Amino acid sequence: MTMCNITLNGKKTKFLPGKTILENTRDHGVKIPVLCSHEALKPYGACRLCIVEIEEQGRKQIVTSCNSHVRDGMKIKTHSPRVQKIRKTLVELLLARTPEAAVEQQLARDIGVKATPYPEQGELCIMCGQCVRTCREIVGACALDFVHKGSKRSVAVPFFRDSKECIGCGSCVFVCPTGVVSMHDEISDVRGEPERIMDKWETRLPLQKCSSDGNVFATRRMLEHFARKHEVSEGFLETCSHCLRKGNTK
Amino acid sequence: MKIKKMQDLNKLKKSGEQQLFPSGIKITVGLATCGIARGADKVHDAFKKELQKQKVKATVVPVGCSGWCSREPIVNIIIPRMPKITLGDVSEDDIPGIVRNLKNRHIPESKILYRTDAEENIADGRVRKYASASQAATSGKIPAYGTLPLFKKQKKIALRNCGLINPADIQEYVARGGFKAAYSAVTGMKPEKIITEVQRSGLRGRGGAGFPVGKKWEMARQAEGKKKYIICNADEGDPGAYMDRSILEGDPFSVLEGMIIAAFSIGASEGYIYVRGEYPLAVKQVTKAILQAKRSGLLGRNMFGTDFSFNVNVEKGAGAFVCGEETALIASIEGYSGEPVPRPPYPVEKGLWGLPTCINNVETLANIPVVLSRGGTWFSRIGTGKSKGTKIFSLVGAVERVGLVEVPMGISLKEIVYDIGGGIAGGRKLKAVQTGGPSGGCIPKRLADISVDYESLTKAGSIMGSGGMIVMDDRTCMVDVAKYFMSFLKDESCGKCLPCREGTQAVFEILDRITRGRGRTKDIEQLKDVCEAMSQASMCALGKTAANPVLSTLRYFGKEYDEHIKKRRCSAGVCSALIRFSINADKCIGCEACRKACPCEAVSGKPRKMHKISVKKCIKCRACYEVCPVKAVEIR
Repeated sequence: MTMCNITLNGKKTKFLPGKTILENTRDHGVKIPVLCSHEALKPYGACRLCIVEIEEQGRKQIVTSCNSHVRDGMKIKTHSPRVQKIRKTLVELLLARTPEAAVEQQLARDIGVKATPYPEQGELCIMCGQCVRTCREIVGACALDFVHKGSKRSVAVPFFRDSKECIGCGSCVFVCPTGVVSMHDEISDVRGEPERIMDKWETRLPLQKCSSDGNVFATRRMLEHFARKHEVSEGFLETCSHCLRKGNTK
Repeated sequence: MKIKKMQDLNKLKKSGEQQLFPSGIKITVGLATCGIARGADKVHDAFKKELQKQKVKATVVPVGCSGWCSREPIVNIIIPRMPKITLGDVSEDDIPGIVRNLKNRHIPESKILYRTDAEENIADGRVRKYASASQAATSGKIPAYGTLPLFKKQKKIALRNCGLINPADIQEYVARGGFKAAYSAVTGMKPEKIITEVQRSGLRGRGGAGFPVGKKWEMARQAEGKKKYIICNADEGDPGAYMDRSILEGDPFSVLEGMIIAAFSIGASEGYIYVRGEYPLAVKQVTKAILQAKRSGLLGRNMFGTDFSFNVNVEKGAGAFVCGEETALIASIEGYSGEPVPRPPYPVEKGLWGLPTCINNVETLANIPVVLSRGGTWFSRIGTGKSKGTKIFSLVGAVERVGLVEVPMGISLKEIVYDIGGGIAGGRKLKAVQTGGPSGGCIPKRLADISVDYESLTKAGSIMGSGGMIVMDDRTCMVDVAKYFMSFLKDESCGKCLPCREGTQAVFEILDRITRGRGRTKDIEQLKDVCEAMSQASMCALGKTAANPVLSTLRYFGKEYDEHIKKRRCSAGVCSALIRFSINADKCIGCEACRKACPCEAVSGKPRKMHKISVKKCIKCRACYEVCPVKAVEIR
């Protein structure tokens, strides 16, 4: 593959043409702050922190590096005064929204923002949308989406509780950078059966006991979902991976 | 009857002409939303009833908006061999009298606005006369259409048929030269030739951004895809703007014809009209128009006997402002929530269902048939160097004549406000003109000579936008105006990207603080910071332009911000936290009007003695101020 000739922060270098600016700069060890980007997910371009200044044929432009591809002859400035000023304002705005979020506090420290001049709102979710996108793009359950608009926007399951689509796989919990999405397993008061509770989605899902060692290991709906998705017999997934690996199947 | 040949179209044209210029008496009532809001539907029904009752033979036909919205309901009376007479402010009570006089071919003068002796059909340039010069001379002192200041400086291309034809009748549209351009395009022109013609015309997108239409079509034509789409963007969301609604309500066929030509040029086989759900009448008219066009073979398979097939669907929006943005609009049609996605890829490459999609505004498409029938060169002679043709504005606010006007580009703002609009209502003074809706800016009075075209407005910190034009008088507080638009934008921001979601909210809060008298000096710096971040880093045009109302008011009315922050004063008397009501002892006549009007007993005083307002009890509702006959109530 022919490489693109790029001027990155004043230094001449070569970039891979099929990759985005963000991926390329990462390979070159230049750190651009991001919040909504995740290597397993498609570029989303919502946090706008990854903005860089590009110059092509004398035309200067500010673009988000996560979804902009490189072209030959591009001049890229990742930390120009203009970019840094806007980035600072954005971090201050987000810090006002989520003053308690650790990931946001760290970002503010990295960028040199001590406090936000805007009134604090005390929200927890930073609206990166990673949970929504993981559920749609990776899991394929499409249980989550955004509701409301503007600053009232939030993530929810339909009707805010008892989701029929959520399979309780916990991917949303895993990707959430703030810890606002959480889950826990407990024994149901009503049925005495083990259940998984998706706290934020107010959804309870029965857990499956391993047919071999009797330990709970996943929600039943999750096993059904992946059995359908990967076309394996349902019984195959009734044994936990631990026992399967050891060959302890009945 | 399916239209296959020119003769078929001519046949339809003939029967349409008989309806437009009938042998008997014809009454048309402006039944667009602006008319209905002022009771035109009742006038329409009353005419029908009264004609039957008095046994007068005449046809009553609904038409669209003729532009003079503040004088609705507007009624046209066409009597053979007489000039067409237009009446304004017609109420139900007037109708028995009008009908009685109709028997003697007489129209009572009191409600007459103007007469029309002849009409030019812009589609072919031909003039059709209602009455001969000698017949017109008998109309005496009734002003003629072309001499009225409201119409004198207007040039109606996109609005050519609005208010003249029955929007629900395809024959009347054809009679005005309709579908001739589409016929000659589809049967006899190469797509490339059409695109060149549109490029030659210099027509630019009327939705706001002003992208050259010919260039967009060319890109869509060259884009590769197994199917292509054309979308008509009728998601008109700017407060106080109703250009697109009026076209769809008054002349839906012109938009359809524009879409047919566009589809043929780019190679699209399916089209969508994305119209706001809040425009029920526009939805109804455009749906009817599609049905009629299908029946006449002007939509559907093998149009005009060629192998070109094209169909149009109507898609209703649910009222989100952001859905006027191309990518959000596409997401909405696809069934997702209306949120923009990053561009590139642009819709002309990857649009609806991932296929090449060309999106044009209603007004743009309504211009297309005329561009083709009169030629690109003819069109390009109207307007300025880079802004060609005409532009429709909904002239609203503190102006004497509120209405829908279509003016050639390059006209000065002053001419629109003073000549066409008749100046400021109530003899007050002009303060600023807001153009371009919430994404636009305010142009101060001292720049009123500015030429109205894309470049000049952008240079002045505003935008052409889709055509909202709000005139503001000296009683307007510019900080309050900025706050209003920001409150609209923060509610309409989809919330996807950070700068727009948090930025509009933060700016609104700062402005709100300033109008409440709690502003700080550093607020101005903060406003500028957030505005820069929004305009540079937002994902779509909503956020990118959201700063305009604030930046333009800061630029031209910075003193007012200072006054609010430093002196805690609002000299326009709008921001209630910063004003006080009092009664001027020298002027008060003790009439008690204010005391009676006050809803919270804040005004005290005996008859014929001076009245007083208790500052503690006053809720600043302005009731006393509005009601005082001698203007003794003062705002400080």
